[in-house]
Amino acid sequence: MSKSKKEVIVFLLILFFFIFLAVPQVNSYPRLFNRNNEITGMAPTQTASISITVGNNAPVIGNVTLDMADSVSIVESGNRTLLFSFLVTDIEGAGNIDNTSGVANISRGGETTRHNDTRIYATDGGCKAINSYGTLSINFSCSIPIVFYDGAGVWNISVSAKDNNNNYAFNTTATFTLQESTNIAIDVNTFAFSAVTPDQRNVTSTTLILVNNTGNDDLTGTGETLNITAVTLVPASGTTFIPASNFSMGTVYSNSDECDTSLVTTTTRFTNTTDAAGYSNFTGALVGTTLPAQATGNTESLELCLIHAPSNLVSTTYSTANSGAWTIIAF
Amino acid sequence: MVFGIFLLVALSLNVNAAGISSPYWDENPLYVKAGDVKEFNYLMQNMVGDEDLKMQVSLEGTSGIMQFVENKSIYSVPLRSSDVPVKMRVIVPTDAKEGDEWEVGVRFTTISSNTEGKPVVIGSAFSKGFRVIVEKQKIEENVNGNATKVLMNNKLIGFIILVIVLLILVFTTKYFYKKKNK
Repeated sequence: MSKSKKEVIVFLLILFFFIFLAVPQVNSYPRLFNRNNEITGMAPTQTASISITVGNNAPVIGNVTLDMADSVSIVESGNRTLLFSFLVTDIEGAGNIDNTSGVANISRGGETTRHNDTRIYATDGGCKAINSYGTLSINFSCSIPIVFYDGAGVWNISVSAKDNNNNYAFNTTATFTLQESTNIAIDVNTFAFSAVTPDQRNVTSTTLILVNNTGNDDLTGTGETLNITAVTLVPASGTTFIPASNFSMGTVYSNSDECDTSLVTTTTRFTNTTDAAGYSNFTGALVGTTLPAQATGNTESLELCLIHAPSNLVSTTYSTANSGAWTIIAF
Repeated sequence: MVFGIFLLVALSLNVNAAGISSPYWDENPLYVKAGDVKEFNYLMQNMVGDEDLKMQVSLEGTSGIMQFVENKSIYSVPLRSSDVPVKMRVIVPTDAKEGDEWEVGVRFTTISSNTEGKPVVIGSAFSKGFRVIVEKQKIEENVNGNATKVLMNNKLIGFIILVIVLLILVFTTKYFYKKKNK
């Protein structure tokens, strides 16, 4: 290759180098090229004056304040009203805030969202504008019902309001803690039996009792079943008695299943394996009971069975009045 | 021979209903520090029943770190009440170590009334327990924001490019100058 050709090649390489170096540099100035990548001839920078007329500013919502102590407890088998308030501020004046626009909801993962939101539910009522705060703000007061089976834990509070120009403000930062409440209701508090004869077997009580979970504690898992403490029945006077171990209780009671102690998943015999024969009390789990915290299906019916009336009983009344009430225990 | 053992009973239709609220439970333990003294309330409720209740309270567990603030073991829970407090105090030993924990709790037992002439009276009880845990020291961590390291800013890059271009120009000029002189 001749020297002149080498010189041309070197020159071209240098030229290409400049082009490839320069193009990315000028590309960083969009004004040099239009959208078709054509050179516009405009300077890469230019000073300009801009004037924007702002028609309206969105309001803002400050802190959400609980108007009751945190943490909150449910009301047994009813609703607890959660009370809170929030301040809406608009730099264009409190008069520009829509007094009827305050809405809110409370939510938690896995739980039904509770609301006071007239945008979605017209009958909710909405949060109330209760008073002005300075010249720019309005205080909204809000209430939302918490249902008795709403789960314990931390709940989020979301609130919103708008101004008269339909600019919305939101605040989703507030929380509150819902306590765990263990509640049960027993519809009748006595089991009764018809006349019993000595040595009689498998006598079913004349009453079922219905246990209802009226709180927000799921009584369903291991260690969360109902337990019972049963004590020996004794007469007002005398030495004969009916030990607790002579009873059983079942959650299934058709065909006297409550007396069938082989049904170990639904029938509980009130005896401890270590009990000696004779006088005995019992404390233990009632197998098969499940009481979820929910609106329906939160009940359990229980039937009591006298498996065997001791043959030495004398004619009198044997009752818990002389020995102590039996107790159904919720954990 | 027929024995009048349990019968004779016109069933009582009393609804035995009660409940206990607690700010701490299995999944929401009480976190403390060594030497802390914490007070809180259990809340007793009687909203569904049809009569006033009496509730007997007793400590569960053997930890010894929780006690009743009030010196009584039986509380009245009027019908339609939902917030009857039982004041509790937890005293954490001063020599407790991080990670130490205790199981504490209270048994609430309704005291049945009007049991006269009733064979098997059923009451209700509630066991409300939770763990007290000496918390580990919290380490402040900045988990927000982006961790970035600027290797070279744009001004530096521009300067380096400028130097390279100048060097190339100098060497090119020299090259052609030498060639011309030859």
